[in-house]
Amino acid sequence: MAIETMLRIRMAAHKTISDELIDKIQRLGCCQFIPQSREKIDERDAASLRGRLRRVEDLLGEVRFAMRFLDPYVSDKGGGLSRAMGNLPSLSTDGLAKLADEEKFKTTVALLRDLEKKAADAKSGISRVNGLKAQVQPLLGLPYSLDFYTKGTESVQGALYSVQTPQAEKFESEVRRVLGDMAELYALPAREADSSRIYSLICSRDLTEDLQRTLSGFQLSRADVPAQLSGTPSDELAKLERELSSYKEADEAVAGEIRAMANDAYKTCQYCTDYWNISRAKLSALLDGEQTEQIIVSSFWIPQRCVNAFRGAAAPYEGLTEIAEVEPEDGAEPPTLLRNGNFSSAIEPLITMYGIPTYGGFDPTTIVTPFFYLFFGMCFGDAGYGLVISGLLLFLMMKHRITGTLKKFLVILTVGNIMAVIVGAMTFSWFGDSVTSFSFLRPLSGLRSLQILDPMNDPMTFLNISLTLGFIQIMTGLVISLAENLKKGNKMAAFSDQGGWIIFLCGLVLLGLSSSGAIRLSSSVSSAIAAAGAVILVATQGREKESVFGKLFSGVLSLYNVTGYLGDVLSYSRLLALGLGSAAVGMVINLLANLVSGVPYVGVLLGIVIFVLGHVFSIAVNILGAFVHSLRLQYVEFFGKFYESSGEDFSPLSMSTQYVELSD
Amino acid sequence: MESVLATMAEQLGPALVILGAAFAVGFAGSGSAWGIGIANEAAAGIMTEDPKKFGYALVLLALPGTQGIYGLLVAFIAMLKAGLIGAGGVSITVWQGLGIGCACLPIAIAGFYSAIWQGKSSAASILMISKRPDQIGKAVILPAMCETYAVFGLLMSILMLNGIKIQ
Repeated sequence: MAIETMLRIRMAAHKTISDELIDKIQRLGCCQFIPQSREKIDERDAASLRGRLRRVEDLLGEVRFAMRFLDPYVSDKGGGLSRAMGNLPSLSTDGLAKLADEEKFKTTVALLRDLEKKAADAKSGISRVNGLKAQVQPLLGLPYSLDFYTKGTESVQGALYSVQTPQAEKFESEVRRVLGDMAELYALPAREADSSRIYSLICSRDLTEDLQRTLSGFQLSRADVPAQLSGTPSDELAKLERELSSYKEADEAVAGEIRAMANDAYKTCQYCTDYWNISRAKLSALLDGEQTEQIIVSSFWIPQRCVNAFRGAAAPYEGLTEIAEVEPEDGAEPPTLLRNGNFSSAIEPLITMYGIPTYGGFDPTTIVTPFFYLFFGMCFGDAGYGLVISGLLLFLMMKHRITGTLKKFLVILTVGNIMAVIVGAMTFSWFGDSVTSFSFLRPLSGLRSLQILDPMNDPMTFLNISLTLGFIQIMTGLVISLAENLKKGNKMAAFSDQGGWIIFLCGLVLLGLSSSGAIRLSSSVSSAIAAAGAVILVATQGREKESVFGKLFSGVLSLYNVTGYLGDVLSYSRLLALGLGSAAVGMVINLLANLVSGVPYVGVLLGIVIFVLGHVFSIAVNILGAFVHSLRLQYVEFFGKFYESSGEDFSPLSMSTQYVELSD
Repeated sequence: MESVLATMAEQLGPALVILGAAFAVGFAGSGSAWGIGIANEAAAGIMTEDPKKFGYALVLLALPGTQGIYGLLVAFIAMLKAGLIGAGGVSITVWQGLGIGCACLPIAIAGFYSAIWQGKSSAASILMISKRPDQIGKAVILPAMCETYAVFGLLMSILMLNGIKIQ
């Protein structure tokens, strides 16, 4: 339960060895570089580094393009789930460097760009031909070649008109009346679901004016014929079909080509991503330092216990480096790194999810650990569910090499579920009341001997336990706050703000317990304790006010905050409610399973289905509720009393990889 | 006349239990459906941008669903208590029936309103994870703040039901 002490180191290194040295620091993974303001950096001195960084970033951009492009074609992605399960290829750094071959990658990308162009050509060809097809299809049945309508001949010009069906007959007779034999009018076969008919009209160019006059009386539109079409519509359609299939073949061929190389290329991209990300991190760290022509002066934070390792790594370059511990500048707050034992460190992600502890403040991980697991167990509260889930998770963790935050979450769930087994056994809840409700499970009724509590029939005892736990946790919060205030030298605040409340609240609780006869204590003693606390609060809570009246008024008013503490403690009653909820949902499922099992023939099967599905559902709902509500009790009721979370996360320069595991 | 009154008295008890159970399931369930509906709109919205967020969105939009389960639970316990399901052989008076019916109200009312507001909080959280999927932990905690009061409603309903003694 501690926050690592951080030191600030200033290191000057000659540029000839700075690369090698930073490599070693990156492998150590314990130094967080502090960026210098740009004013201190002479751009001329940084130019070569910046050039290198830009090149790496360009390459990473190319990798991103390639991965996005390949994504739909890859069959073996080494997906997120398998990655999370720790099934990563293990490589040495040199091995990774060899696999992330820049020349090979560049050839691959050039090939991909070429294929991308080919695929785009094929796709645009397909859509162009489809467009033409859509224009030709309505004209099927026209016996003339489309030349007439696009170019015409010397004396004749054709046109296609689309006329609304109700006007069609009138149009036909009118055109025949005016133009007579001088024009050839041909009606295309009517098509279903089309409210207009298409007419082909071929007439002498001389008659254009007569024609215009006649047509102006009708609502019609002239259908365009694409200029590149010349034969009859059916010939053209056949031609287009051939063209389309050749484009489709090309598209397929390109897709096949990509698919054939996709898996290998994708793997290469993954290696490149990891390798170049490491390079980028290294170059950025170098660029964070002040630059001169020959020297880079970097500053970084390092946990105290890593200093020796760092000095060891830097020792071979002694003549070319200068290392000094420096005092942090004003206002520079060191980053926070939590350090906890193996068991409680699993809880760290839950703590940092709320906020990173302020550097030099209090790390609540160890204190939260027992409370969280206990609350989770009480909320989930069923031994059967706990056994199933903790068993599954243990199996998962043993089978796969899971690391990092995911592992911590799995550990949290496993321990929480083991706690649920204990609580469930104590309350005789095994998949709800399955032991008593199914006759074939009667032999297990020996489990009843483990029962200590019966929240279904005697909820008050469980409620009292919940509230007592709440009171203990809130008092713990106040005591931590008191200790922190003493550490900072705020004796007055410690004595009045926390001390006053602790005495007052304990006094009230003792008063309640003694007057109800739960403990044997003279009520005058407990009243005296409560009164002493109240006097401290009244006397001190108004100390910021200037007038005597103001001091007194604020002091008395502060006693009203007791409702806040009451609310906080009552909030822990959810431990009972959620525990009862799990047990009761289980009970209802067993009841339903029992009811349907009486149905002839299929009853037993139905009963089993309801039992299994019902309990799976119950586990899903209750585990989420148990997790969220136990966490909320920490965040709102507990952390509210003392926790300062204005810290910055410690993010050292390291060899962090996404797709491979580095063996060295 | 007296026999009519006696019959009414005999049947009014269970009827009041049924009324209470109907309120518990009906209102808490409606609230849940309403709340999930609100959260669904947000979920569908972010999935048009990024269908991969389905998993996260599903967890968040399922949160207002618990109230309906609590309602169902209380209704079951009430009916079990009055002998309407299960073993039977219990007869309750009008006053016991009224008591059981009233005991269903905390979860019916608190469940209804808290589910709707939890749905709104879930919708807001869903929009939050569309931009910051790494903050899923916080996004789950926020709607749970509303659920607290449904949990209290459930607790009180169960305690009240437990307090009614039936021979």
